[in-house]
Amino acid sequence: MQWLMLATRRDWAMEWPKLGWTDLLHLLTFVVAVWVLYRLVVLAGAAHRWLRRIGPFWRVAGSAGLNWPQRWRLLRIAQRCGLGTPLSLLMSSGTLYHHARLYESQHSKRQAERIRHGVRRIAIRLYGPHRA
Amino acid sequence: MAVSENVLNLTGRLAPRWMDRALADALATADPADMPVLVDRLLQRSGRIASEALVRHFHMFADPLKQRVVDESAKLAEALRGVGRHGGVQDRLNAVRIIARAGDRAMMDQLNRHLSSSESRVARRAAATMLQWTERHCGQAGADPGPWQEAMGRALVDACRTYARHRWRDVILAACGLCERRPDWLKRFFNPQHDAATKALVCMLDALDEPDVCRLAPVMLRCATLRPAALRALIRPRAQRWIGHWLENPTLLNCFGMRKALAELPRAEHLVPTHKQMAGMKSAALRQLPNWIDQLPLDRRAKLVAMGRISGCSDPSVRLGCLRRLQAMRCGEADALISCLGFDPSPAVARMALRWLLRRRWGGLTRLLTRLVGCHNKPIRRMAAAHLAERSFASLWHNWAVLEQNTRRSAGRAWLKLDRRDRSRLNAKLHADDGGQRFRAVAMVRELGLADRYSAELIERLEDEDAKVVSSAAGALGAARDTPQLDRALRKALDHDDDRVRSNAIESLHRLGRLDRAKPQLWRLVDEGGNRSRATALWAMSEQPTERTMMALTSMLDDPRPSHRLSALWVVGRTRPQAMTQPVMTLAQSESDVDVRAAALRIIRQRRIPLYPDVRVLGEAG
Repeated sequence: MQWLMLATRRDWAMEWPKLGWTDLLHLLTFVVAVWVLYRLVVLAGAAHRWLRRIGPFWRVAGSAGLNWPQRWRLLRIAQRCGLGTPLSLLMSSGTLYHHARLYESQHSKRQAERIRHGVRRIAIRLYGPHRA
Repeated sequence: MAVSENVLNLTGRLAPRWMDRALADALATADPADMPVLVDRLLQRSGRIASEALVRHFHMFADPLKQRVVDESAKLAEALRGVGRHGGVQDRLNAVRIIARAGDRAMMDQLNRHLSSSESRVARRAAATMLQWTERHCGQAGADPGPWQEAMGRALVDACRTYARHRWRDVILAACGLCERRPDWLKRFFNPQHDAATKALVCMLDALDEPDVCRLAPVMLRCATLRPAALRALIRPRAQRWIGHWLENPTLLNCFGMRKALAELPRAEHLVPTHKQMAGMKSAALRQLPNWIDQLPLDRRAKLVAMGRISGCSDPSVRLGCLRRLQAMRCGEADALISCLGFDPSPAVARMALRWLLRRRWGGLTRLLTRLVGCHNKPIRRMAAAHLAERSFASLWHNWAVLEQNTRRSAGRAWLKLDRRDRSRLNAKLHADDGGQRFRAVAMVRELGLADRYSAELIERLEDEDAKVVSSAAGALGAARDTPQLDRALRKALDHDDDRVRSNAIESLHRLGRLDRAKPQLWRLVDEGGNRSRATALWAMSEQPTERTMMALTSMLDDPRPSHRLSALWVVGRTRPQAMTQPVMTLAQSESDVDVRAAALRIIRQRRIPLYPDVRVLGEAG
């Protein structure tokens, strides 16, 4: 830290310290470490919030008889359609189909067909065959 | 059921935040069949997110569901406030719609905030709601107008203050509607501080096309700021259309300033309602009409014409008001108009009119009373009859001496028909202090054939100090029913000092057929009485002539006093005894008194007796 001590002196401009490659490496390492730490904290917070949001849905959807892929599909639909919570998709068949159609429109024809088929199976599971 | 029961039961255990968010997000795209369940859930949860979701998606609901939300609007107050501040256009429109349909006066401040919204649909809706609430809740028909009026008043003051920003005429109309009930609030709404609102109102008043503003025109005379505009509006002929509406306000003419301002109008003939307008007026308005016309600056003639128009109104209280105004005018023309109210179907009005005319001693009163005697109104008929009887008695009494006999009898009979107090009136006159009045009363009794009814009074009058009265009473008693008292009284009158009294008493006794018991007194009068009583006694006894009566008559014809001879000739003229022909001829030939001789000659001429049978007329002798 000699260079820091030198930088605080008044006459530092007069006597510019001599910095070596080692010092620069140390400095870079320090900055990267702080940034990584920060990103980790942010990521952890986001993950926590995501889990809190997803958790209830995951439990309810599981209790309603949806398997993991079906739950993942609903999660993706909610995420891509900007819904606050994927629970909304469980509330009404109209909501589910509406957002599913939006989601389909973002995919290719073959994928859309597969999504439509999967959503129909979810709807049958949730609301019964007469409403699906 | 569209919504999975299983899912809903599972979500019931979740934290409210997530559940509200889920329901709110699902609401926009849910099946119509799912909507009621979702709305029910949201209403039950009543969190901020749930409430705001209901407000934001209100326009998507079916009518029954909307009504459900409106019914629970008390729970949505916070959400309505939040959406009103931060929501989009549709959200704010929804908020105003919910407030309008809820009709909760606690949300008035929110409505006022929406009035200044930059979105015209929201502001227009808010202004229309204010006007609607004023009409619905602040009128007389409102269930409890007091708190509503207070709340509306506060909101409208704010709305008028911010009029320069929103410029919604509905606010002015709402304020006018409220001022119709609370005229004292006019200054609160329209004053120099609220310049924009005041100017807008003046423009509307000049145009005279908004009913709410036109209805308020006279009330604006109270307010100094609006008075010039109100006066301008009132002098326009179109203002006549609104008279009925103005007068529906019961406190319109209570304010002194208003009456003073009305008096300043340069012309007011057009402010008198026509018959057609009066036919369309409500009774509350009609009741104010007399006062209204009284306050207008009309000349007396125009005012009387207007009052005459009102006096034909079907409402008795209007006619009563009209009568009072006419009474206050105190002039002959007004009295003439009041006389028409004497025929009013309402007994109270007719009675008051008649009393007033009686008090004023109106010139045409007798004529009016004569017509009222035959009117269908029983109390008025009685009253008119009583007063007419009094007046006719006074007239009859006053003119008795100058009337002909037939006129006297006819007028007297008419008076007796009308008057229920005839007895007391005549009694008063019979017992008057003045002898002349007593004499006239007795004459009236005699002339009108009332002797039988007044026999007791007439007998009493036989003791009168005035001989003329006694004489007249004695003569009148001849037509009374025969009673022992009457007989005694008349026989007593035969001893009266006055000769006329004695004579009349004899005549009455003769009419009653009571001469038998009085014969000694009659013979005494023949011997000692004056010429009248002597002659009358002889006449009375000559109906069954005897030698004594003939002798008495002969001796009376030979009486040295001319008056006695004259009276004897009267007896001869009435009884026509054959035995008296010669003495009468003697008187006709040789009597020195002119009157006596003329009377004798008249008798001879009536009997066609030749005065000088020995003298032959030359023509007859051939």
